[in-house]
Amino acid sequence: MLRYALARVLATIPVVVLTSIIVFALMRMLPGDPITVLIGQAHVDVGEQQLVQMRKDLGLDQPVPIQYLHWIKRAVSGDFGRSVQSRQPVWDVLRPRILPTVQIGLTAWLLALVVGIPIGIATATSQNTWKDWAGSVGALIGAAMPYFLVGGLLIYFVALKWRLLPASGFVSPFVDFGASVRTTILPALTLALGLAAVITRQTRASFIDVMQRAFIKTARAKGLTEQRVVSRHAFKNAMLPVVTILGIQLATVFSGAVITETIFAVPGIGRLLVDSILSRDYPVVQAAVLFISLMVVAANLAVDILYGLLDPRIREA
Amino acid sequence: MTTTTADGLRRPGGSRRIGTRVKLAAQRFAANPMAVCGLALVVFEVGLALFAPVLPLPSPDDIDTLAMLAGPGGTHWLGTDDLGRDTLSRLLWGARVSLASSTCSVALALLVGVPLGLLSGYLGGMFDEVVMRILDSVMALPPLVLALTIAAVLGPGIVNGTLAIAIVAVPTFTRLIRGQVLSIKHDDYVAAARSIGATRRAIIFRHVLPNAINPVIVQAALGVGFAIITESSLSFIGLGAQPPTPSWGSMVQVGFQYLELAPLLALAPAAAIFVAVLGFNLLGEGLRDLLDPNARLR
Amino acid sequence: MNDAAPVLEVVDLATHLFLRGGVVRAVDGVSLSVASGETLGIVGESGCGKSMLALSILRLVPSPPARIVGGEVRFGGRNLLELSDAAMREIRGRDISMIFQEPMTSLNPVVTIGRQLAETIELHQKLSRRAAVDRTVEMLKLVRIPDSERRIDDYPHQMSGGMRQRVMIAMALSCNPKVILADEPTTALDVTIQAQLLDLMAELQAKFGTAMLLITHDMGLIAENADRVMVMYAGRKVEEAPVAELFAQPLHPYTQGLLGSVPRVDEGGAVERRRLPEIPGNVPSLANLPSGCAFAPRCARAVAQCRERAPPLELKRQGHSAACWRVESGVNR
Repeated sequence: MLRYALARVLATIPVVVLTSIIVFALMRMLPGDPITVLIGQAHVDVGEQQLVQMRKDLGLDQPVPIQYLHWIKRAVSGDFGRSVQSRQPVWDVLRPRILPTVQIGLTAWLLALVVGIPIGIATATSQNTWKDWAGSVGALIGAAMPYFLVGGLLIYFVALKWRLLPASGFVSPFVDFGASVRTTILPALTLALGLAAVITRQTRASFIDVMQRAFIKTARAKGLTEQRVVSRHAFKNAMLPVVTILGIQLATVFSGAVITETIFAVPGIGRLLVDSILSRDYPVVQAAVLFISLMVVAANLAVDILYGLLDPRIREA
Repeated sequence: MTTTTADGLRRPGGSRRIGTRVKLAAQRFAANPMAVCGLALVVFEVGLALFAPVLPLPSPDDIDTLAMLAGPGGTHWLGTDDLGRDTLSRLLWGARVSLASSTCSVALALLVGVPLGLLSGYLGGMFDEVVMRILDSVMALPPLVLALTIAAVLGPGIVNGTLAIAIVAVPTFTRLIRGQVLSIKHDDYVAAARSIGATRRAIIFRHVLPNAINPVIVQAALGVGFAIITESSLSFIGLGAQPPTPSWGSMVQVGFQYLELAPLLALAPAAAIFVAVLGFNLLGEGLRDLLDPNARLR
Repeated sequence: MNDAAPVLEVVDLATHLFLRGGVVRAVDGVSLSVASGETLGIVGESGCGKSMLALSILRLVPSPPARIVGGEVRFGGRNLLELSDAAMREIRGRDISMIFQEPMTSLNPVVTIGRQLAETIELHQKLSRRAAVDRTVEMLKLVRIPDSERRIDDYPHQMSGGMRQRVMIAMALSCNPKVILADEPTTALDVTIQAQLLDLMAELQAKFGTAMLLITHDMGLIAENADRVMVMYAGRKVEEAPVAELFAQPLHPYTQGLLGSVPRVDEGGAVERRRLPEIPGNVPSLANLPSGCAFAPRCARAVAQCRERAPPLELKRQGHSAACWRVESGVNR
């Protein structure tokens, strides 16, 4: 098992490297002179000599691959340059935004799991009844609903009309736990609906498939109760394909965070990305995109390892 | 010449005349409620979008300062926006933008992704390795984040937005068809074709492609749904379609500012996006039941 | 022939499949009995209902399309078809066990074989974990799996097909059942492994006095391992006899056809070069059985009476019964 985990960790390294190259390349393709990109419009009146000097200081006169290496070297030690907007070190801008995104994202993900898997199992075991039909239709609808619609409806009814929960903002749990919970619920629900729909459908399909397999007949022939057949034998096998999509789900959470954080005015990484793109604060954009992709890679790694824990056949390969 | 029979099995040689096969496929399609619903929704939306200019509605650009943020009623069935423009009309004109953009994105992604996947899967070796590594890294970025970044690089505007979404969609199609090719290229009829000296190009396009294409058709339908959501997200943020072009995403964005006063302003375009995506998703799932009997997701 | 009281007796069992296209009479009034220590072979082509028969005995038929619609299954003084689900579950695995055809997929791939074996033991014998593990090791030794203490932590994919089937046999025998239903236990395996496994099963049977229903389409297997044989066709029993008798003098035209199509090596060791005879026609669709004898459309000796009424199963010789109008008691026309 350990060997497998190690192999998986090593396999992510080339992916991380390539991703960082892609992020860097994207940034270099941004319109405009990199110097204005990095320093910002505010310094447009700087003299030619000083521009040349700045270019040297920032290493922009070096060939691009060298610039990349410099960037990586600095990034690893946490130096992502300075924000054009606020003149602060980018890392200082980024760091406080991590908590809201992760808190809402994880909450949404857990909610989706806790709701999606049982419904998926329930529809699979009561096939062709109204429960199955309702669950499947619900999942189809949930998967098609854009965050605007879910978020909009939730804000309009729960926050504005019934005044049960706040319509926007975020409070850290270290500051006020109760308020933190209240500000997390609506954005998490918005994200969770689409996730839960996908999880439900995959769980259902997977369960139906597993219940047809030969070893289920064997388990029944041994005299096990149907409940034990499902929980001891079917469950683990059925969860394998579901675990595979969990990784993709986590990437979806980050995509969705961009929208939900904007709708709910949450100061997270998603909104930071949007704001910095719109204000052309490219050092921040670069760091935010890199950070998000690293989180996705880490999440996928965790999912791979979890899969190895569940399926002994993978560990051999 | 290889064909895929109505039940999805791969067989060499055209086994029946085109006419009867199409009729059979249509019958099976009609028996599938999801596919029919999806198709109906899609036809409905596309129809509305196409006929928007000739419908008896106020122009989407008509500013009526006397009726700003009005609720539904009278000539404005869905109310008006902050500049007094008719919401329903803007909704339908926005449909033109959204649907055109999404279908173009998917078409572009297919144009690039399918040949790439075909070649990568069939040729294998170093070429395949390199392509897959690059795709893996591109896919490490969540789709909307990637689209945002590319749109930022390209600049605002609906054309750039379409391009950005197309680029994001390419890896999915490439991987999908590559997977199919990998399992098909060892089939006997491919070996038979090679043994009679068929060129690589002929094999790829006449034997491998027709058999690999089914899941791609399904994914194309689902991909339009994805493109619609992503396009509206881009417009919502301010990239993508720029004013005064009506677009669902920018309508939602304005709507959210007035959510308490005029909820319909945000909820109507959001619901429109929902219906559009639902239609394409249903169509895609229905096609999947039809074309890809191995994928049991019902 | 064994005169002892049968340990399992099936009377007129009928299992039907209710499908959109019609009702399929998969098991159409079949009776059988088997005594302790005896092996009853059940032979017939694919689709003749033999697997359904076994599943019906244990009430494991897939319940949306299939349903047991009539008959009795007498075991231990009770009719199994009338038992509650809980009572039936006690019998499964403990008193009557089943071995399935596909060793590659009949075991749960993500659970160790040790745990799968121990599960049956823990369930029916209420032993502690430790005691169950000990018994598991014992069972693996019994089926001659080497290195059993370590093997209990293996996963199914780490074992060959033959070994997996041994594990299935161990599972089936672990609670000392009175009857084993073996549904094509060796069909998916190599011929050499087949022989080993059946010898093993015979040995264990002799040791524990277990009765066995050996279901197969392979006449050779029957010849080697069964005491009595019954032949099934289109959901019904068409012939039954002690094994030597059946091979020496098959009465029913279908049985004759089956035996005739087995390639033979004659006295000199040479293989006959003539074309293998085949039974013309196809097995009828079980949803659309012809009236009269189900085999009549394919039978060279069928007459009008055969097509009008289905022949009853009658005793034609001592211990040998057949369902055919054209077979007279004592004499084969």
